[in-house]
Amino acid sequence: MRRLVTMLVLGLSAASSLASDNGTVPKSEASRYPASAEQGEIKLGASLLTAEQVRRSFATELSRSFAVVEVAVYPDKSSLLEVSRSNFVLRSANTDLSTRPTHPRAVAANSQRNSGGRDVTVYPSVGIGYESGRAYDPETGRERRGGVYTSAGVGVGVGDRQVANTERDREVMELELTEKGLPEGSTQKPVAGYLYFPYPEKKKSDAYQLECTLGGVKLVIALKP
Amino acid sequence: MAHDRWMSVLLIVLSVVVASAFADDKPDAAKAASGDPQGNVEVAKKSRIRIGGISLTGGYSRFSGSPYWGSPYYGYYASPYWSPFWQTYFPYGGPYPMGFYPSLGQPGPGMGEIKLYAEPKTASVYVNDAYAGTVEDLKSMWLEPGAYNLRIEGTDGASFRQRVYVLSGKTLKLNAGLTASNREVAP
Repeated sequence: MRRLVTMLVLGLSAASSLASDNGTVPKSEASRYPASAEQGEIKLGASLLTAEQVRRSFATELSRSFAVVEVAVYPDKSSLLEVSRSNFVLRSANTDLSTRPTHPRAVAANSQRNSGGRDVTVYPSVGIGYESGRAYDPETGRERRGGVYTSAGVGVGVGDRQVANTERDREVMELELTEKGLPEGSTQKPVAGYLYFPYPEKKKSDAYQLECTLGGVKLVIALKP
Repeated sequence: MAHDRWMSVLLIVLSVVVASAFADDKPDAAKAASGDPQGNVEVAKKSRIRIGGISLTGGYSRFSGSPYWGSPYYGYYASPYWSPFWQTYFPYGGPYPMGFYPSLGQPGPGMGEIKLYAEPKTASVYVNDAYAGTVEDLKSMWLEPGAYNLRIEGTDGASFRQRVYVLSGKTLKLNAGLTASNREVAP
């Protein structure tokens, strides 16, 4: 019996620690986030990052393709709560189209693909010189004098852009997105992290709803950048 | 002739202005982080050499002397060609052959940059717990793509910690405010 209890305690500790390795530091209360909701003992705080906030928070280029939402879950302290990306849905308030969070690996691959491109560089150039010496024009037979020559031109260089498009870059991006992502697993402690939603529609909406089902409880939060 | 002299002076001034506008700071010698337990951290400043590309060149050339071989020394030129380097100037018309004139000022391939702003400048910088130098020495760090634990420690015990992610060709500007407490700063 003692052995069973020990194994149970160890198992619970391991499960609880699964959700605490990654993510961000949760704020002291859910209400400290720009948007929050609570249902029973479960509380949820969320913040939709602006493009500028995304740029400042991530080395990975995300703002063009993904809506980044920081989410904090505050579970009921008396029981374990299973947290997973699949619990969340982002819905456009205008069109009712919805998306689920993308796995960091897929986000990193997308960012790597979009990092390619071409750089165009313009090189203006001017030249000046003096030619001395004697020569004769074969047609006229006249002696040719030396003189100053001048030139002006412009060169246009086109090359591949070497920005975050290697396999190593993709691995680093995946690592960053995973480490900053919402921790998944069972937890009794508050956890927080980012979720990466592809935009539900091509034209970015100015208002979204974050829906979340945790422990059989559905929470809905209105989000604005 | 007077016109040509004035033109020459003007073009020399223009050359200096253009050259200074396009010139970047000369990179310093490489600095290696010492004592890295994993042996894979390298803090270095790379020479900026841009290689590769397609150049389309056009311009105007003029010679003040008398005609030669029956052709005047002026006219427009256009020359599309592939060259990994700067174009050379060939003053007698004709082709613009490839030459070895590397243009400085471009980031090293496959590396990312961290620009570090912190006070005091004498504070020590550690990358993955390996001493890398002082803030003064490491205003600009070039690193292989990867995740690094950056730590800055002042002489008064104030410190700054952050996990940074370096991607090739990207610059991360880090304004580090050293605090007395040893808390982890959220990215």
